[in-house]
Formats: sequence, structure tokens, C-alpha cells
Amino acid sequence: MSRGIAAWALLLTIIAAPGIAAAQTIGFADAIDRVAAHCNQDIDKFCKSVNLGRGRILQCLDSKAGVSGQCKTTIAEVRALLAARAEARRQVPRVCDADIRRLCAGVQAGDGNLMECFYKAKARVSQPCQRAVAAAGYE
Amino acid sequence: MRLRWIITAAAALLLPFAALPTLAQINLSKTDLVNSLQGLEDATRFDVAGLRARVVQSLNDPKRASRVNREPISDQLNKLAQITIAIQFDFNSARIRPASYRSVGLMADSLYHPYLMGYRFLVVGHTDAVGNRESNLKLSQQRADVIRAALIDPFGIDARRIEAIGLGEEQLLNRAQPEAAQNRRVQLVNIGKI
Repeated sequence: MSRGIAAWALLLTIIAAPGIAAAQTIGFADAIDRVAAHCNQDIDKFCKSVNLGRGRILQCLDSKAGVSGQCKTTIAEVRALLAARAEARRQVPRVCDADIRRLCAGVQAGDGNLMECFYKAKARVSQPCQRAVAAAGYE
Repeated sequence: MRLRWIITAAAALLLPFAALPTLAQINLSKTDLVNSLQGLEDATRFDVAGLRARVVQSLNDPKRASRVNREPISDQLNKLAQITIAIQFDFNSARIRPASYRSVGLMADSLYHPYLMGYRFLVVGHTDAVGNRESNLKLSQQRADVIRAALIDPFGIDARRIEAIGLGEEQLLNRAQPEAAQNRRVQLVNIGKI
């Protein structure tokens, strides 16, 4: 529950703050790479046999008391990013509804056609929609 | 039409990366993946279940007994839009080494690109031809499954968009040298519209 609220707060910060570059440019690759870099020793020490996937690595690191502060901070950041992305993906259809109707009126839905039309028209979409799309990682 | 040509040309230019997994891992960017993975308009639906059945049968095919210059199990697979990615696993294990987390994240980032959102993808695991052939097949399937699982959770890719198959040593990159390290690789392949 509190994680949901935190994700919302972060998402609102991302969407409301104009020109916040970091949130838009960091992707999953960089985020998870930070876990690898900052938690490498902790993974070796506490989660050596745990695999990526099904949230296992983050869960394992969360559950161990001896994990370094740096790793814990990184995990919190990555969790927030993952939650904010998921929330932004849920919000995009609502936030961007008017833009999609305006810019992709004749496009048949399905097969990713709308996404493609929308992407090509991205320079002309409203600011809130642009931010939501960036927060969702659709770029 | 012109766009399609450009995409094909871009994919062709990127193809050399597919032959050099180590190079690919150093240089690979999201743009490389998105460009390489865009589906051709005439890409047909790929029959994953059929291929899986064929792979199992092939273990008993006398024509495929020799490891040197064994024919690829699927020519069709090689013709689809794809990229080869070097993922480091623990020896004889499906555990992804933290050094390769970034590559899996990169796959996820790419699959959210609007140009790829309408497509389904196949994660293909390959081993070299060292050790037991059947174990290799099993290990490659486990490794492909793990990558698929990671794309779904934590990265949130819709499970219906991703399938996984292990081809063991049945589709070697370097057929003349079955033991070569470059045979150990993971492919991400566009298998058509959702």
C-alpha cells in the first residue's frame, strides 16, 4: 500500500516537474546495471544462487540484514523507477487520450498501429502527454 | 515503402553484430536493438511449438549425429528480424551473472519502443557443442526461460508478447567449430504481429 503511494508521488513528481531529464533518460538497462554495480558484492555474499527474474534478486537483497547501504539505496531507487514506470503505463491512455484522438484519428487500433502513429506525431502532442510517455519509457 | 527499405538496410548493416556477440555486448545500444528488431511487413507467424517438437525429434536423427557442420534446425529463424546478445551465465547453470543484467534491461527497454510494441518476440538460447547434447538442450531452454521471466518481472513486459525456446547445440553459429565460444549466445527474434 505505502509502496503504491510512493510510486504515485514519484510519478507525479516526474510528470509535474518540467524538464526533469534524469527520469526520462534512465532506462531499465541503466537502472538494473546500477544494481549490478552497487550490489555485486552483496549478491555474491547473500544471494549467490538467486537468479534475475520474478523479482527474486531484489527480494533477496531486501530480506538480508547485512546488505550495504549503497546497495539498499540503489534497490529503493530501482523499485521506485519500476513502480513509476508501471503506473505511467497505466496512465498514458487517459493522459494522452485527447492527443491520440486528434493526431491518429483515422488509424485502426490494434497491431501497435496507434503506438506507431503516436510516436511519429510525438513532437505535436501536449506537454502532459509527452511527460507521461517519457515516464512510461515509450521512446 | 521507402521507410521499409531503410529499415531493411539498417537491419542489414547491423547484421555483422549478430556474428560477433562479444563486440555486440560492448557496443550494443537500445537503438541497435530497435533497428534490428523491426518486423518486416511480410513476416509470417513463427511456429514455436512446431520448432520445439522438431528439436526433440532431431536428437534421434542419424543425419544430425555428427557435431561438425550439423545443419541448422531452423532456416526460417535466421531470416527473421533479430539480434544476438551475449549474456553471461554461470557455468552449467541458468543463473545470469550481474555483469549481464544490463543486457537484459536493454532488451526490456527496446521492447517498450513504440515501433516494437505491436510485435511478439522469441528468446532463443544456444549452447556450444560440448558435453551431453540433451543436457545442452535442457540448459539452453532454462536459460531462455530465465530471460523471459526477467523481461516479465521485474521489467513488466506483457507475458503474451514473449516466448522462449532452447535450441541447445542444434543451431550453431560456427558450425565448423562446434566447441567455439561464439556458439554460446542468446537471440531475440521478432516473430510477427500480436
